[in-house]
Amino acid sequence: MDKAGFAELVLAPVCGRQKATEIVGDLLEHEAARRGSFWMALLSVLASSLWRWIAGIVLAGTSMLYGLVHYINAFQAKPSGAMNISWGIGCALVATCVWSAVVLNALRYGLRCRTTLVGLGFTSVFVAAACLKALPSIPPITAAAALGYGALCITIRPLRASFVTLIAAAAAHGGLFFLLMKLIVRPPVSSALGIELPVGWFLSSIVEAIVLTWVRQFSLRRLQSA
Amino acid sequence: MRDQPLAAAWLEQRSENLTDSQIHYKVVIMSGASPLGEFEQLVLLAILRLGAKAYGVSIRQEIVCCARRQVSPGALYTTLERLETKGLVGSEVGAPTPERGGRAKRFYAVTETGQSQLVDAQRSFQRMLVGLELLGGHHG
Repeated sequence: MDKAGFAELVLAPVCGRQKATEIVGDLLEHEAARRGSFWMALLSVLASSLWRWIAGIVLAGTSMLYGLVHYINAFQAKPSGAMNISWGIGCALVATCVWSAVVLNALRYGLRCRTTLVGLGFTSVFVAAACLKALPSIPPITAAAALGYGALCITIRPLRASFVTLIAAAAAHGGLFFLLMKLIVRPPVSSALGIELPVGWFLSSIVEAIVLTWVRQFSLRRLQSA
Repeated sequence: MRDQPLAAAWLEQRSENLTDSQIHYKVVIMSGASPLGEFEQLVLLAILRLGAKAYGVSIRQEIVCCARRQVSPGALYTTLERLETKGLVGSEVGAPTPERGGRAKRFYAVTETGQSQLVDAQRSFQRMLVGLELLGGHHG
């Protein structure tokens, strides 16, 4: 593989295949005109694109420690051997996944981005449900609120792209994190707070960021062509 | 994708006999847009200067030559993406060229909203200069 192909491969997950091809073309022209090194320019593009993702991953993780602790609780097996996912823990897990997508999106595309705002609504619903889990009427209220909000987002066309992007990113994060933790974490689960949890969070957040970029571009293209 | 001249949007605003603060409200606050940063203004001006030839390499070169500023490629592409997301810049893909290994260029153009916001940002600077004896003369 030549250096241009390698650069495209590295840039594609960060900014999409089409844009990566165009940027690499610019960098080749930049180097041919003896205006600077190809590799330094590539590093500069990568650093500018990635620092927001890295900051987002750290911020999302530290701001949602409450939810992360519930991830550990979920692995505390019941006497029957089943996982300990109660209603409250489930809501906290969903809120953590959605919140992580919201923070990444806010840092990358801004606080006023529709996806950020849609995600804030969902996070609020599930955080409230997790906090009020003791109330008997909370499960049906939460389910109705989440379904109603989701239906509203799907019905309104501009919000549909944001909704799909958000759900895809959050599902990718939650699914991969859960899978990683199932593979890595061994009893006693409290030891996972040491290294497994941050590593699992970081890896699944990277995948989440890639999914967020790709699905967002795809959804926006669909929205524009409709 | 190419837009009207910069003056057109400004004259349209003027024809409504609005004050500068009213124009600022209309262009920046009502549209929900955040004010333009200095580098964003430089990029928009470079695109306007280059016209139909505005793409990554030429925009960067224009800023280096005219503004005498070093521009990292990363900062430029991030800013172009942000301006595009805000709707201040539009883009279209050109034909592939052999000197770029068969890769196409993405050409940029400033939209009408972009021109309005740029004019508004420049007017802010002009208002701040009024009464000051900078740049070798009295402004006002």
